Amino acid sequence: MHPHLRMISFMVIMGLIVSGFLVGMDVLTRDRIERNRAFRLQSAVLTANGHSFTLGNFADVFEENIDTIETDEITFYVDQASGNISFLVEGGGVWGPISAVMTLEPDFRTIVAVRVLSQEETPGLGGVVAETDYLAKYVGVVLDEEGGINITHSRTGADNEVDAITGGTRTSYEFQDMINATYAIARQAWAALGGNDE
Amino acid sequence: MIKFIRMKYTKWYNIMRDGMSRNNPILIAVLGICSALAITNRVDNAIAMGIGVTFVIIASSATVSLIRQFIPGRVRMVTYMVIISTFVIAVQMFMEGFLPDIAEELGPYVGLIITNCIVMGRAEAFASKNPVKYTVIDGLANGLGYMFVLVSIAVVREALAFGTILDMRVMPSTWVNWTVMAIAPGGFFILGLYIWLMRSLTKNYETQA
Repeated sequence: MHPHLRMISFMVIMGLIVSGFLVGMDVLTRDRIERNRAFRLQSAVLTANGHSFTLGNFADVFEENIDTIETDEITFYVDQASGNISFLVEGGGVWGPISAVMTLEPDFRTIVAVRVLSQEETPGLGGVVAETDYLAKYVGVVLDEEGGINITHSRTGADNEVDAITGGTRTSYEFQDMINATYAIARQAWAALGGNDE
Repeated sequence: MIKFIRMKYTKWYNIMRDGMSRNNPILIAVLGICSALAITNRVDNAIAMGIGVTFVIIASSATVSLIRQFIPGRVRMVTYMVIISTFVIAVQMFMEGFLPDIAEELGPYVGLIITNCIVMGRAEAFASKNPVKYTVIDGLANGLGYMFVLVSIAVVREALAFGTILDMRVMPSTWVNWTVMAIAPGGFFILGLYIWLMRSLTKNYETQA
């Protein structure tokens, strides 16, 4: 066979085998990956509102206790018992996208919980942003209606301040910008909704 | 004793020793140091990365070795790349589907295995010329050699940077964390010291070409 023909047919055959293998892997894992993603979001909302659940029944518990309100800009997850509002906060970190769930009290200012769903920051530095110990600092922080949150190395004692991450200054700033940008959009969307309800 | 001496002349023993010490991929060949610098600030990351890389080296080298007679010489690099990427993507899908917690922990580093020069290096230098069984041993040896170095760096860095090893406190509570050890320069210092140490111990000096 002509060497070029041989080369091309080799690449085609290999391409087919490899794609077939990957399609098979995708079919095998797609549902589970989908479920795990849903679990990450819904379990964050449920945990923030103090509901208990398992990997088996989380979807039902979520269905029963949480109202999902979709608007054009953002989706709110409202806890029926407490009225707490959760929504997704997404944005760019230093190395890649960060996505988190923020839960606010019905006043739409006080933070109940923040949980990071995915991030790609430097492990041990910016990566601290996803750690439970660090995110515990956000509980009870009161967002400023205009300025949002202030993640800082030098606190002055205001209600909307949170300690920045040591060695993760840029991640801290990106995280702050991301929260504030989403909060501004969410606040308007929520106000618009409230107007409709009343 | 006789048995041990005889073992020293078997091929697999030599391949094993090559990968682990004499030709250690990081300390002697200085390959794959990008990931070695990036993830060695915590021991658990180093172990997970080591296991992932070992698996990918073994699987891709074995595949390359299996089809080595059919790979046309001019497209061999592309072929290795496709095979390696396939295994890495498969590992990533598997972890996201069945081990979501570990997958989240490792984040982007699983994908970065594709760019690890050791995997490509073993495919080109060894797997394309040797039968499958030796290739598997070679892959294992190089993977373990890589993991061994990663963990030894990570033990020092995590202790100095966070005062812990595998999240267990090892330093006194008065210990002041060395932030420099958590970022890439810290990795360079420790890696440099190890390379120096290893080369002195094995008397490995590069001769001028």
